[in-house]
Amino acid sequence: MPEEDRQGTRFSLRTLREEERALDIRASLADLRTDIDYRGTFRIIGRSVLFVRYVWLRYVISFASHWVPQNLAIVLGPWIGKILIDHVVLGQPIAGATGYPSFLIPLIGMLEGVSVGGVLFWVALFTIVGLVARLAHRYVMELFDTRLSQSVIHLVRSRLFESVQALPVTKLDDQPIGDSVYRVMNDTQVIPEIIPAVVWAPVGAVSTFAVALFTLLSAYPDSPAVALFAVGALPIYVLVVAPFARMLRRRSQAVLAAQSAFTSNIEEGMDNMLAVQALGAKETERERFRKDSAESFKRIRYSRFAYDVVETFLGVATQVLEWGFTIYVVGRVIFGDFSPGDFVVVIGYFAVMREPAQELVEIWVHLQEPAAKARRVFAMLDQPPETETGRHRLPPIEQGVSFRQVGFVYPDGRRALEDVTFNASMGQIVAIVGPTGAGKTTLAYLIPRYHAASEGEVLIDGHDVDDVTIESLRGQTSYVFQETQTTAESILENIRMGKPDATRHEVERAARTAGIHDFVVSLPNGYDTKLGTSSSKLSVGQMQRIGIARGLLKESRILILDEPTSALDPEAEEHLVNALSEAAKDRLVIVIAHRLSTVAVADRVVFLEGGRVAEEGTHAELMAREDGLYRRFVDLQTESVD
Amino acid sequence: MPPQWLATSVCYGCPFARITPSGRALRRDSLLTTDDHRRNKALATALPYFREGDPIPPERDLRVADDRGGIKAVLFLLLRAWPHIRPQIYGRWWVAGQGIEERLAEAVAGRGYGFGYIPPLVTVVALGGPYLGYIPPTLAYPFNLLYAAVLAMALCTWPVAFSKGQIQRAFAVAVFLFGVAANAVATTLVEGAADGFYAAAVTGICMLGWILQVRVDGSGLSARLRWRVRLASHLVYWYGFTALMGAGFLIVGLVMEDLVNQSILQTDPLDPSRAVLLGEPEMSSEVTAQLLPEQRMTLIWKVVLIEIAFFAPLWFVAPFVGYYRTWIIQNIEQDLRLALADSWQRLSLKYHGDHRTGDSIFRIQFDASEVTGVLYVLIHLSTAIIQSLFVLALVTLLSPWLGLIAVGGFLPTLMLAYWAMRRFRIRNLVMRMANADLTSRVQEAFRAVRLNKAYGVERRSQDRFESDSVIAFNTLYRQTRVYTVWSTSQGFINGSLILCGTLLMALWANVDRPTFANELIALAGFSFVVWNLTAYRWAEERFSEAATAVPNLVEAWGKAQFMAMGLRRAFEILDMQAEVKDRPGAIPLDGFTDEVRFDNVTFAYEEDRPVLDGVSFAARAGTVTAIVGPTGAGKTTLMNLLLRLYDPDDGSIRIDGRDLSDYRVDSLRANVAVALQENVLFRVSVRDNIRYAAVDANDEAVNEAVRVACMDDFVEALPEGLDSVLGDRGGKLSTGQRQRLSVARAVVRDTPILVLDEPTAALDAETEHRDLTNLAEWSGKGRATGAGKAGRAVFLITHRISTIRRADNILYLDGGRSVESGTHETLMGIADGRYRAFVQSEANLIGRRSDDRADA
Repeated sequence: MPEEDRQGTRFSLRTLREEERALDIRASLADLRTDIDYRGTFRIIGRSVLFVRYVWLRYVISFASHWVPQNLAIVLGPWIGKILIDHVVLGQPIAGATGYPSFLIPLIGMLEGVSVGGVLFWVALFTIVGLVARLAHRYVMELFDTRLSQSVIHLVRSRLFESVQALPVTKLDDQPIGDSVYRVMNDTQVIPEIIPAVVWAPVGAVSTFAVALFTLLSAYPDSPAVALFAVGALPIYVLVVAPFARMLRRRSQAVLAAQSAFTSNIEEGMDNMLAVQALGAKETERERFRKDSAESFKRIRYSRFAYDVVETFLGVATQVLEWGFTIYVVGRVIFGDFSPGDFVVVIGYFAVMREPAQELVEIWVHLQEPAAKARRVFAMLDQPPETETGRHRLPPIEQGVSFRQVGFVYPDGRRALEDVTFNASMGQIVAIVGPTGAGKTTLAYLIPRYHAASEGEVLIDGHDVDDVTIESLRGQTSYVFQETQTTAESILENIRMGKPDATRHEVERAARTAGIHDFVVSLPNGYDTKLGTSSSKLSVGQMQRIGIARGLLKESRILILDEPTSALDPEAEEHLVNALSEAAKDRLVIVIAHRLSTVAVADRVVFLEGGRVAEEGTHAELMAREDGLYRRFVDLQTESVD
Repeated sequence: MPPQWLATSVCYGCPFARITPSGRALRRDSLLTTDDHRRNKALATALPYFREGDPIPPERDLRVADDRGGIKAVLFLLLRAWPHIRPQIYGRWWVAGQGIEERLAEAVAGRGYGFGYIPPLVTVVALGGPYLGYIPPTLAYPFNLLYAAVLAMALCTWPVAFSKGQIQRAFAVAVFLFGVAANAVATTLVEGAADGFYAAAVTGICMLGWILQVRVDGSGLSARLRWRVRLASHLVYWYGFTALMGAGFLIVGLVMEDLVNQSILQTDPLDPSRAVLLGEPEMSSEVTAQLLPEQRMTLIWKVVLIEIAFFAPLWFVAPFVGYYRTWIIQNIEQDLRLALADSWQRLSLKYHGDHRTGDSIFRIQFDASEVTGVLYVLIHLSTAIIQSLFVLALVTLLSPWLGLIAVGGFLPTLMLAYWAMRRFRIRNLVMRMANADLTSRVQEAFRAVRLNKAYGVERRSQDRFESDSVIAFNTLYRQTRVYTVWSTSQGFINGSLILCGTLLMALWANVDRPTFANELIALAGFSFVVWNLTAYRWAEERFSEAATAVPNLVEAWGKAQFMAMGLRRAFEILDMQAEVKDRPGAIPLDGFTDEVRFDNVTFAYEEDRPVLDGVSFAARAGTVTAIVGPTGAGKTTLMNLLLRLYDPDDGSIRIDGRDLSDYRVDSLRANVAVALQENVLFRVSVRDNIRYAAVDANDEAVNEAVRVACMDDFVEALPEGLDSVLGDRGGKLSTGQRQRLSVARAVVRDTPILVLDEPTAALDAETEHRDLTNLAEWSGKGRATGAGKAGRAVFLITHRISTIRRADNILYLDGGRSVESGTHETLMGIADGRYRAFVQSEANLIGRRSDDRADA
């Protein structure tokens, strides 16, 4: 048995809490404040209930149509049994029958003088009508309620999906994909459960209780103790379970965190199957999978156990109450106050009244797990989206981009850029060059505002990028990422991502420029070839070219390419570099590159080191500096070629 | 799991910092804009209120005619869960002097161990009970039944102990069934406790043979007795305990109810034996004809006290029993999950290229979890069958009419079931597919968030999600509807039957009609010889059970359809044939001394589009082979074949003269380290990322790898150095940093064959230079475990000429063919060679650009 399994056998509350804390961190760094108090719980439940406002009429219909038949059944149900037992089985005369509630007396009176067969006929008729009505009602409501809760889930999960998509780029590293998937697919399911539990269940429980109490008191007006027993159940239940709420909530939260971590695990492992197999890491991956799966099971066990303990406490309370009540009622039967038939009715009513009391308490108990889930939903809904600070649209870009003393610090405190100042104008190719980790990509991210500058300002035609709407800004920039991603669609769709209405001809032209056209037409399905999810159909170089074609097709004013040529062979690179010069005629091209062959084409070179602009100028200017960093950088490459 | 669906201070992005203390959360919610409300309203009304909604797209739908189910197919799917359940039943052996074995214990006996001591023991005890007078030595009913069952059980143990194979198994089942029968007779038909203990003792001894087994080693005087004990048969333990508890509930419940109904609510005196047992001899029917009110009051207190004595200990045990059960069930599920994961690992990348990640998530978390219900359903089904027969017999004993009414309900029930079952299966399968698609949609969209932002297609992605979400709900709705149609119709059949029976019984009770088999009922110890209140109340319940027995069976079967569809999706993965697998007799590759030879290797991902077309070359130990060529020439594919991620369609790859398929896949991959072009990192620490494929690597090895890959500078800058945990997909590192980590990961494995796929593409020239120098020096050391004296074979895919020219051999690939090969000098010597053109185009590119600029 592996080490960590054995450790699990030494159980202590302190280690349990520490483990749960560690799980929260593993599940998502973007959502760490997981422990909530009573007020927080109520607030989350309140917010869940607020979703009702969009479907409130349907909830009212649903509740009314559950509540009315349910209470009719409580009011009318038991008396059929009493009629059968007292007047058919025991053969007592109906005239002078006792123990019926006042509203039934006229109906019972109608049966007076009817033969046994006649009584049976009326009972049969009544039951059949009731059965058909109940089944028809159940059929309709089942489907109505299905749609109702689906509507709420659809609303919540669509909103949640939107929030995850709107996360700022800096947050994405902290928010594992698997966790987001788990939130959208699983946690959202809980919201429609909370609404009836909070709104209707108490109303239902209290009214059921009241109706049963009223009926009981009118049938046995001289036995208030019967009612007292039932009423007394509530405080007993409350006392029994009140101390357990936080314990149940924490255990449930741990379940969710562990499940989410497990989902992330599958997501990562399956999505990177190439790496797992190529690295021969089958055993590592299996062990990782086994551990996370076992961990989620363990948390489920703990949570179930906690619930079982609370249930047992409730069960004990119920049993004790039932014994007490049975002894009391039996006493009344023995001393002739009640008939044996009354025993059945009274015990039945006690159950009917005790249950709502138990349910009321259980609502709170059983809300802890939903609250834990709903908390995860709201935590993500509340994530600040990419802050849209822009007030006006960015007019078509005419001049260019300028950086003024720009600095950037990551949320976790790492500084990436400091005091960066340079200009780039339309019609130019600007190369950003520098050692790995110098902050080149971070710098480029500031232009379409994937990151917001922490200091200084990034200006486009004199407009601070913070002041223009994201949509108008990104509409005019296209960004070709260093690591190309494709979606599981056709190549055509992948290329025209940024310009959905592009004609086939335009797509092909962009593909030609990116040097991928010939390859695509060589495929059996050409541009309609569907790319798989993990894209093993294409080589990295081919993917990169699709990314470039995608960026070119968008025809935006600013084109940013992050290491576009790293996986290209020299011929393809030359082709691309020429295409870029062509493209730069009426736009600004910003290219991040190591390769001299790509850099050399640039009108301006910005050399970054350690987050600062170390050198800046044209290729020739920089080469002219004797001990220049750029020169050294170039020399290293040319040396090796010659 | 049901198939439905299923920060700390005020700092950057701590949602609760804003919510919890100030209560702004609700305010924030009430500050939703009108647009938000309009959108919420639109989302909440996107689904119809009652109707089916838009038809499901035909390519994601199935028709009822597509159903490949049927009773046999579903049963088969359920039974396929057996290998995952089995360990929880068979357990493991604890062998004296050796401890617990790893392997699964045998079903009955084996490996020389047996339980020959059991048959004589059982026979002696079975005969000894009546012989010694512990229980009455009479053949009167019901003792005849009891003795018959016990003796049959004892006799059947002989062939179980001394035969093998099918016969042994058949008799083992017989022993089990007779045991169940004997205990059932003892608890229900025979009065008193002694017979119960007798039956339990005989059963217990039979079980002992299954649990404790012996073997005689050697013969004569030197013979030694070895023994072993079966442990960890968790399901057996759990069911045993539950059965005991259930029997207790049954007995206590029956006796107490009879007491309350007859003696306390009415005034009937007690049965003499019970009166003695309760310590109230003066209440016996031999002493008095009617109980006094005080006596009845005493009696109710006794009833409550007995119930307390019975229930109180259970309260303490109950949560632990529940925990134990959950644990067992989870073991079963875990077993299937691991099997699924293994199966996916076995499948080649050809499969994974088209497989959606969300689908795997759904299959593991939802489809596979159905395995936990299988045992329950199977047991439920079999007990439901036995129970329904039993209740039916009981009711028939009271009145054959009642039995007839109950049986009369079978026909419509079965016809309805025939209509419903195939629809359950199809609707459920479509629902599962739609939800798996939705999960995939979500996963793919979240993976592409950055891309979506860059191209402003969030809206499109959102629309697609919403449309898939609606489709998933529509499929669930259709499943719910067909189930509701069935349950409503079935409810009507049940209700009508129960009404008929109840009214008949009420009528009979009214006229005090004698019950049908009244002697038998009297013998069983019940007081209703004629229809009276007790008979009515007792029979009312039994009749409901009898009338609903078959419908319940159908309901359980209906749920089994849903379960089977989940299992079908899980087993689909287990059934997939791995393309790349060990051939029988494959040997481990434990070293590499001579050469890797590609011989006429041909490969295509899709037919008609060869990626490699007859590539031949050899790489000797101690050399560096550079693989060069235009994008898409098949360089990476060539290396994937070396790792056996795929098998070549034609030709062969040999290591030290043996074909790759002669080696075990795992051992092959253990000898080849690769730095991938796509730097795949995981959300663990930098150290664990480096050790990802070499778990045993010590700190020294890791540090060495860090040095070789030139990672030291940025690792030092990380807040916790090597122990810093990376973000999702290795976020927080730049591409160049991740690339170096990828190289370190390959280096740390220290294997005799090393593949570097564009290891320096994202590095600046200086880092590249250092990195390559380090790598060259390191690979020259040749201290790899398993490498021969000559050292490692290194394969290097790159476009960088500076790197290429250091290689001992260069292979120029174009269009899947090896066009040229040789050293840099040789290849440069070919006048119109492709390699030469390649090098010159790079040189020209740099030269010309520089010149252009210089001129300008």
